[in-house]
Amino acid sequence: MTNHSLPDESPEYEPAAASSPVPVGLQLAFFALGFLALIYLDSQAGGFNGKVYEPFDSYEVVQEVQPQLNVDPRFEQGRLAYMTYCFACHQADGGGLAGSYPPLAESDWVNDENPERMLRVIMNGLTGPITVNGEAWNVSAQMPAFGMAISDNEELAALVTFVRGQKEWGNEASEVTAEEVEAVRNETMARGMTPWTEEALREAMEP
Amino acid sequence: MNNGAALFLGLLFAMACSWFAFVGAPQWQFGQEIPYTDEATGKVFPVDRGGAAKRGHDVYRQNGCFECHTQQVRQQSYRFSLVVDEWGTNVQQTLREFPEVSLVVSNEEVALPPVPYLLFDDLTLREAKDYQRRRTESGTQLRRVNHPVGPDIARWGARRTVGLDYLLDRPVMLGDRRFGPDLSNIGNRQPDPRLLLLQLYQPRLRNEDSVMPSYPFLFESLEATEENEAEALRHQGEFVKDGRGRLIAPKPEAHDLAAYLLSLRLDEPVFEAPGLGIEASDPESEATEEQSD
Ligand code: HEC
Ligand code: HEC
Repeated sequence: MTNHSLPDESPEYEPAAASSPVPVGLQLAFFALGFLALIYLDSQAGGFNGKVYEPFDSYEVVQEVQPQLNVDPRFEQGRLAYMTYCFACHQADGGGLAGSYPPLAESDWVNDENPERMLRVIMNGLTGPITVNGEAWNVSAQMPAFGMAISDNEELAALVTFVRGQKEWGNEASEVTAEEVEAVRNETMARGMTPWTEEALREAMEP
Repeated sequence: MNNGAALFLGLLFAMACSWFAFVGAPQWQFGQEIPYTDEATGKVFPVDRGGAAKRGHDVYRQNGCFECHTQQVRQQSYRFSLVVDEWGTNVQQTLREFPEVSLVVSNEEVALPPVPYLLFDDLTLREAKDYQRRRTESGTQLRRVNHPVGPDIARWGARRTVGLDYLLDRPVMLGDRRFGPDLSNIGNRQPDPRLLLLQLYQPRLRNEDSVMPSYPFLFESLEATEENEAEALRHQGEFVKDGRGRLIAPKPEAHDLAAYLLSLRLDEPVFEAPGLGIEASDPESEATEEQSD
């Protein structure tokens, strides 16, 4: 294309398309369409998260509809504490060991309506002959004090709730709150590591 | 061509755009997926196929099963039911909160029905959450249970398929046509390898109108002797025989393929597709199962 002269000046004019700009209105329309398309894509794409599939809209919804397992976190916390502190002697099934450690499963110490006696035992320990479910236990071992080791009231409450509520062992006593634990802790603080005897417990708990 | 450079750049741009949309973006979305280990149970998902099932994957590929069978299940929506795990201790209050519950009378004693008790079925997420929020005063514990729904799920899958399911497949054989049923959950729907082998030897034994090709070359014919009978295919209690009255026994490839098919299961829920892992029943295949036993 060397001929730059105007058409009416030159007979050998070769037609060429002039470049005319795209109308502003059309440009805006394209822009708007593109924008809407992107909004649509964004709303349908689940945040472009690889874990979000149809029919879920967002990661939060996927999280929300995860199967709800039938576990109570407090109960599980208690189970963990039991396995840490008590399991060695009272065993995983709460059955204890004949002749050495009395059972917690179906024990009247555990299933007492009032958790106070059990809490006292855990705080300061227990020694001497005792009766569990009417059966006399006179073992050489003694139950150590856990008041210092388990200093978190909530953890101890969860532990006791677990032991008292463990249906697999046949226990079905009420839950215990951190306040109840704290009350017993304040009362037994002075006793320190001196273990209770059954006799001493009866005296201490008499109104 | 006087605008070569512009043309080249334009083409490059167009290719780059589609590359980013179809290769780059999915890689960015799914590229980091690794098998995950459930911390509570120590289970790994997905499990790598070993031995026979791994070889069967190649047999599946060689015979082009993916030309007619897909391995992808979609989910349209989800529904929820509410299950009671524990009733409140105050029966009066519980009954006030759950007028839907009818008491159970036994030994002259009136009691709440035994748990777990299915209280509501077929709720939307919002309805289920509303119930859960409202009914708490009596201490009754409601658990939400998911039900993935959709035509695919009703027929073939316990849940939808997700990227994780194919993580260890080389190559991934999703399939793009459904002449036959989807196979991503066949190991769960059809757990009997003998029926799968029968399907491979002659699909019309199980379904007269089947248009699935038969794969006789995965089988060999054996002398009709007693010791060969253990291996031989049976149909409705009788031995399957070829034209010369000889028994039919699967070759190792057929066993491998069956092992591969059995490894295709969707009964384990994953995070992306939370589900029950319930068995989806396929009325058609159940009918044929009964026939051929
Ligand atoms: C070192 C072993 C040991 C550990 C650890 C131990 N106990 Fe004991 N426990 C005993 C012994 C021994 C007795 C019986 C004491 C006696 O006869 O005087 C006992 C008695 C009891 C009793 C009363 C009797 C009964 O069977 O109900 C309770 C309740 C009890 N323990 C709870 C616990 C709890 C809760 C823990 C964990 C925080 C725990 N024990 C950890 C050894 C242990
Ligand atoms: C020409 C298409 C085609 C090909 C190729 C094909 N199939 Fe099929 N397949 C079908 C059809 C159609 C059905 C349903 C009818 C029936 O049950 O026989 C079916 C059914 C099945 C079933 C039973 C499904 C159920 O839900 O019970 C299995 C298992 C199966 N095929 C496996 C295979 C395997 C393995 C291969 C590769 C060796 C294969 N198919 C190749 C068409 C095909």
